Order: sequence, then C-alpha cells, then structure tokens
Amino acid sequence: MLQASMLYALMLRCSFRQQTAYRANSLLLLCGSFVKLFILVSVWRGLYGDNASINGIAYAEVLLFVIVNLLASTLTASAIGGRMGEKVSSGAIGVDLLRPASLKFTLISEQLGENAFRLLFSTLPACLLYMALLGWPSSSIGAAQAALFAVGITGGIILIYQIHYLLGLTSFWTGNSYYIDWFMRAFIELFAGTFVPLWFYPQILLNIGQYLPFRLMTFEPIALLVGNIRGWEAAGSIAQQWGWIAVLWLAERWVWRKAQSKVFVQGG
Amino acid sequence: MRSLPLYWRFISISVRAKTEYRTAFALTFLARGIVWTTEFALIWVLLYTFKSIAGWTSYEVMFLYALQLTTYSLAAFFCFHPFTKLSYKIQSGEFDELLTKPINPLLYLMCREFSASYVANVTFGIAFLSICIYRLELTLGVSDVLFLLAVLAGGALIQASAFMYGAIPSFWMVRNTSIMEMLMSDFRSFIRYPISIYPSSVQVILTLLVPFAFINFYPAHYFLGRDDSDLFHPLLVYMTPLVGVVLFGGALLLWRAGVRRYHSTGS
Repeated sequence: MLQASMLYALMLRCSFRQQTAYRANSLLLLCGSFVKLFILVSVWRGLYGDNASINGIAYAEVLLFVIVNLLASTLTASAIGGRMGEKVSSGAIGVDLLRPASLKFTLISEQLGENAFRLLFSTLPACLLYMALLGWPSSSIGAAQAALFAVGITGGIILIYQIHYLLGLTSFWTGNSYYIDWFMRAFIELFAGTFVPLWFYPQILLNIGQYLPFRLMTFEPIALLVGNIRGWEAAGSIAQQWGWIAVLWLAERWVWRKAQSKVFVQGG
Repeated sequence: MRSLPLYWRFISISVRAKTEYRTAFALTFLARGIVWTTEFALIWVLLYTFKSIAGWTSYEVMFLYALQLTTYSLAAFFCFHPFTKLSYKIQSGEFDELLTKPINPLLYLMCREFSASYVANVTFGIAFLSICIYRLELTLGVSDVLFLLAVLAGGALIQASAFMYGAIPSFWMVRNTSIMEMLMSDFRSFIRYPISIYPSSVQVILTLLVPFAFINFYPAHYFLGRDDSDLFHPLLVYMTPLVGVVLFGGALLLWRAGVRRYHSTGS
C-alpha cells in the first residue's frame, strides 16, 4: 500500500517536472488567468453596482468566491476522459492494462502533477498579482471556516476526479467520443455553480441541482469558506460529498467489471 | 476571377468530406449546440437575480453573445484551420506547397481548409440572434436588416483579421507565436459583456488597439435603440463595416509582406 502510494507520488512528480518544458506556456496561462479574473471581477462589480449585499451575499464574499473558484478549477481541470478515449481508440489501453499499477491512479496522478504545476506557476501568481495591483478582498475568515473548507475542497476534488474517471470509462463503449466530454462539461457547468454561484440561481435549476453531485465539487466548499453554510448544514454538505463519492465508486467498480470484458485491443 | 469555380470546388469538397460521416457530423453538431446553448443560458442565469448589468438587461447581453458567436463562426469557416496551423506549416516547410500552385495562396489556403463543421456554430448563432430579437420585441425594417447583414460581415472581417494578426507573425518568428493567438482569444472574452463595465482604459484598448468592441458592443446600440451616453462618440455605432474592411485590408498587406519574407526551412 505504502509502496503503491509512493509510486503514484513519483508519477505525480514526473508529470509536474514534464511541465517545466513548457515555460512559455505557463506565462501565457498566467496572462490568461489574469484577464479572466479581471473580467469576472468587472462583471460582479457591474452586477452589484452600489449594493453592498444582494440575496444576503456581500460583494466581498463573491470576490472571494471568484478567486478561490479560479484556483480550485485549476486543480480540478481534467483531460482524463479524453485521454482514456485516445487510449481505447488507439489500442494503447492494452499496454496500460498490463502494467502493475492501477490505470485510474496513474491517470489521476499524472493529471494532478500537471494541475499542481499550473496552480503554482500560472493561476496562483495571476491571483496574487491581481490582488497586489487591485486590492485584496476584505473578508474575514475564521480558522474553523478555513478548516471546513480544507475538508470540503479535498472531498470536492476527489469527487471531481471520480466523476471524470467514470466518464472516461464510458469510452470503452463509445470509442473516442469527445462529444460526451463536451456534453458533460456543459451539463456540469450548468449545475455546479462554478460560473454563477448558486446563491443567485433560479429556483427550478436549484431544485434539479439538489439531486446531482456537481454543486458539491467546488461551490459548497467555497460556501463553507465564506461562512454561508454553517453548523449542521456544513456537516451535511460534507456527508453528502462522501455519500456521492461512495455511490460513484460503486458505480465505477461495476462499470470497470463490464468494461474489462468489453476490451478488444484495436491494432497493434 | 477565372479561378472562382475552382475555389468553390475546394469548399464543396471539404463540405462533402465532413458530411460523408453523417452520424459523426450530427453528433458534433449536437455537442457544439449544447455547449453554446449552455453558455447562452448561463448569461440568463447570471442576470436572473440582478436583472441588469451596467444598464443592459439579460436578453441585451445575450444579443452581444449572439453577435460574437455568429461573426466568430463566419470567420472560422475560412480562418480557423488555415491560421491556427500556419506556424506549424512554416516551421515544417509544408508552406512551400502553397506557393507552387498557380493561384492565390491565401485564397487557396482558406478554401482548401474550409471547416464545414462551423455550420453548427453559425446555425446556433443565428438562432440566438433571432431569439433575442423576438424576446426584446425589436422591429427591424428593411434597412435595419441590411445593416445587420453589414454588421455581421464587418464583424466577421474583424474576427478574421484577429486570426490573421495572431498567426502571420510566424513568418518572422518561426519558433512560436501561439502567444498572439492566445492573447486574441483572451481578448475575445472581454466582449462577452458590455464593455462599459470595464475601466475606460480597457474600453479605449477595445476600441482603438484591439477593436473587438465593434463586433458587438457598438452596433448593438443601434439595434437595441440604446441611448449613447456610454459611448465615446455616437458615430461609433455605425462604424463596424468600415473597421472590418480597414483591419482586413491591413491583414492582407501583412500577409503579403510575410509571404515575401518567407524562406523555406527546407527539410
């Protein structure tokens, strides 16, 4: 177990190091993140106008949401679905299945390494630069809130990777079907509250979203951070996360068992 | 002009190549449609609680999005593949092939690499425009419709120029110009929202330096019948076709200079 986790840590470090080859790229991503942040902050300033608070949500809380969300989304970006699809349609999956390491954790460690690099060298500097130039959000965060956030975002990240991997597994049936990726990304975007926080959503969409795991990915952890979800509700949010993780894990096991009997390696 | 039917053949061949695989084409169409529809709907969601941003209501901001999407897709038909792959072609020496044909290399490139799949984007763009016009209860007369067509054409020229200004520097800097391309796409995201929400320095940049505001913000004032208090000058509303032609003319000159500069890398 310990050996295995060291193996995955090593994979993570390798893919992190690989990214250093694309230094110009991270500068670009830094600029891109800065622009994104600039636009989003302008939008929220425009929306709030002279109001200090709307629907009980203060402007400073929304700013914090925008920044933390940008950071979290770097960490949770994933091309796992597309990579699985490529492996299946090229036949490379055959080699991967022979390796004495789990395909799931290999893919996830590689993705995490890449994301950690982006976070450290593009998004985080962009956020710091933005705040240094244009001011820090003035919001007080207690230690308890920060701790809840740490727990929540960890669960959220596990949940996201679980969803992406499960989606990737569908490529055993569909071949390289990037449109499933697109479709799901749109669907997640609509219900996760990553672009527009769910505080401002119409009730119908909220009702549907209640039955889906996507709001637990980054929105609710951030709500924990700004203190919008407290006490028993906070515990409920984290419990729901782990409930979904368990459900998706069981689903993954089932799909994986079906998938193995489905593999026919194409070409060699 | 004699070779016009030839260019048309290039386009029709690439359309046929795409539509040959009907299911794949339909699924791509659907997937893109869902993505654009979600983006479109998210603007509505964004403004659901707030009702307006800088005095623009939800369907007015969605109108901006629709103009952006439609003009981008019109330009992408001819420009996406030719110019996103240009730096690779120059690096590998593949560009030589274009110069050996006895026809205009730019037209040849644009027509040969015409991407039929942008039909989906254009269809959805026009559908979104119609939805906004319907929901905003705009009545467009004949001259308004003609101006709308001119704005779409002018906007498409601006978008095409953005592709070209992003890619053509590869003739001089063989190594890498993805920088320019990235900056262009970052700049494009500014015009998703009315530019009056940004500080005036950014508005000046989007008007003079990277004049994306002419794609949607300025002409939208005309169609939505907005008062011009948030404009630098009321005449800007009518300038889109002119800006498009001027920018595109500049891009053509730059292209010509680039081709003249081109030395094959050999290989």
